[in-house]
Amino acid sequence: MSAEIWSIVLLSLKVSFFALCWAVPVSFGLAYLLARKRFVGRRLLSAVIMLPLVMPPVVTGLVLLYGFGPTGPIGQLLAPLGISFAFNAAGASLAAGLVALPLIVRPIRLSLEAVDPDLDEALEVAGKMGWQRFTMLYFPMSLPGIVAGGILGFAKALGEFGATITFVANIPGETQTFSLAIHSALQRFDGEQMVLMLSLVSISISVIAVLGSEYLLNWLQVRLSGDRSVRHA
Amino acid sequence: MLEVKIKGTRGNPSAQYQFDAGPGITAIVGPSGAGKTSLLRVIAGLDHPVSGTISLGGIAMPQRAEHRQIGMVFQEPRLLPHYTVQQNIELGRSGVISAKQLADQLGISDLIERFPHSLSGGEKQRVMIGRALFGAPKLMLFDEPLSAIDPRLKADLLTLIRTHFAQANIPVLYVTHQMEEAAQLAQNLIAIDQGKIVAQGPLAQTMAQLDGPAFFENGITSLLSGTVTAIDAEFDLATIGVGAQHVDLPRKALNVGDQVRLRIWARDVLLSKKRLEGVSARNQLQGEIETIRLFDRSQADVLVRVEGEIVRARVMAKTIADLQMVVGQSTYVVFKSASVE
Repeated sequence: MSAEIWSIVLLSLKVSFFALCWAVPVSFGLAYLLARKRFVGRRLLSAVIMLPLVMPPVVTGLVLLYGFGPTGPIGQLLAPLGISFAFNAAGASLAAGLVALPLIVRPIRLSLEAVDPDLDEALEVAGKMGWQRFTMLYFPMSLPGIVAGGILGFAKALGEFGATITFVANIPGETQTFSLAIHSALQRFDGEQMVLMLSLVSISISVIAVLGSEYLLNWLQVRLSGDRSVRHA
Repeated sequence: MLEVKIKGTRGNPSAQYQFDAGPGITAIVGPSGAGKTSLLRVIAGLDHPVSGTISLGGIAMPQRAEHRQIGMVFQEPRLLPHYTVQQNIELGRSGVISAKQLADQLGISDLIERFPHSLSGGEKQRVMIGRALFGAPKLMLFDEPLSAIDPRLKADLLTLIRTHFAQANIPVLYVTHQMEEAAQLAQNLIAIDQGKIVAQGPLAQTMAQLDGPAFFENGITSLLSGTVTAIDAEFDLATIGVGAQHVDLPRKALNVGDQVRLRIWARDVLLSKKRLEGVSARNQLQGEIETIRLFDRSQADVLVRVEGEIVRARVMAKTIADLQMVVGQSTYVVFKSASVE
């Protein structure tokens, strides 16, 4: 594999990884709010979180550009701190994470909603405070959701195109991830080999990720149900 | 010890309860929907009353359930599926006794490494009892703990609860809709219906005040306490002294000196003005009619005071007229069988 392809693969993995680094914790917080708290505007929040999934990614990219771009209000606020998302890998991670967010929130929310509130009450009577109930019950029970959401989000981030190209453009070595690189290669008359290689590598990464998550989910299911006899069918 | 004085519970703003409970088991009985579970949830701190106070040993209970130091066994076992039996027991506030010792006492020491999914309902409830005891509770609450248990295992669990809690020096509230369970466990009884206490006091006395299928799903019963005075080895009978009188019943596992409770079904009791001769029912106790309750045109309950306790007989209303039964009259209560507890 050529050095050019390697650098694209590494950059894509890096961007997706950092996208998950911020999107998973934020998604967990949002999912916890939506699943466990009752507050005014809950439905609205739920709808807003889904927006990046239903909006054209290009529009998501534009929203980011107007917010976090060099002339956007948040961009200008962060600039004196030396933080910039403009046309760099950090910006690509921000875009990829945002587009992946709804896909991460959903499974975590479902797994938190499936936690039996009766178990929470029993822990309460046993003298366990809120944070102890969180670490004993809610967090472990949400792990399958975190894994499932994480893998979906990773796949989505890896394949992100529209929001990324709109927000941080297509800069080789900086913001040019898989999809952008394939898109560029397709436009080159000698790019066929490159397109094929990049496609094969991205397919391989996806297969490994999905298999790994299946394995992890099964392992978690065994741990959480306490049923060591459960084996993957 | 436990003093409850509350108004308004979740789902019933007009509910009103006022009672005290001392050490030992107090059963709270009532039909489904009477408010038993709501009452227990308020005492546990899981719900809050509209107004009122709950205090233990003269001190108001903390607001939050986490701080109340209560042991509670729910209708269905509530174990963490990813924790072993031992870990589930140790979820209680760390107490003075180890989880292993508790598991020994509760007959689940073989299960200590297992996960809840592989346990039977009865075993799970034992783990819940273990968790409650691990926390050295100042008050113990049972919310129909046998309702989800295989009927064949109920008796074992009842015995276990009785041995661990009947002599306890903390108040134990035991909610049930089965008068049988209350009769086997409790020293005191609180009967509630539609968010109100309809009767409360010592078990036998309170049972005698209650009526109808709402409280007695399997027929009205009364309780007599007695002591085994002799064993007839030839016919395998136990003679049980009730005050100055006695009855004979199958021996089962009884020994001389055992304190027992006789539970007698009202529908099994005959009344006779004279001691009967030549009948197959062996047991006749002399008493005095205390109350006659007509509850429709055809049927009546006659409450007979026998050696200071009440035995109920369900008879035809016409019988009362025919035999000219009146309050204060001497009568014999005749019965063939009773369950001995």
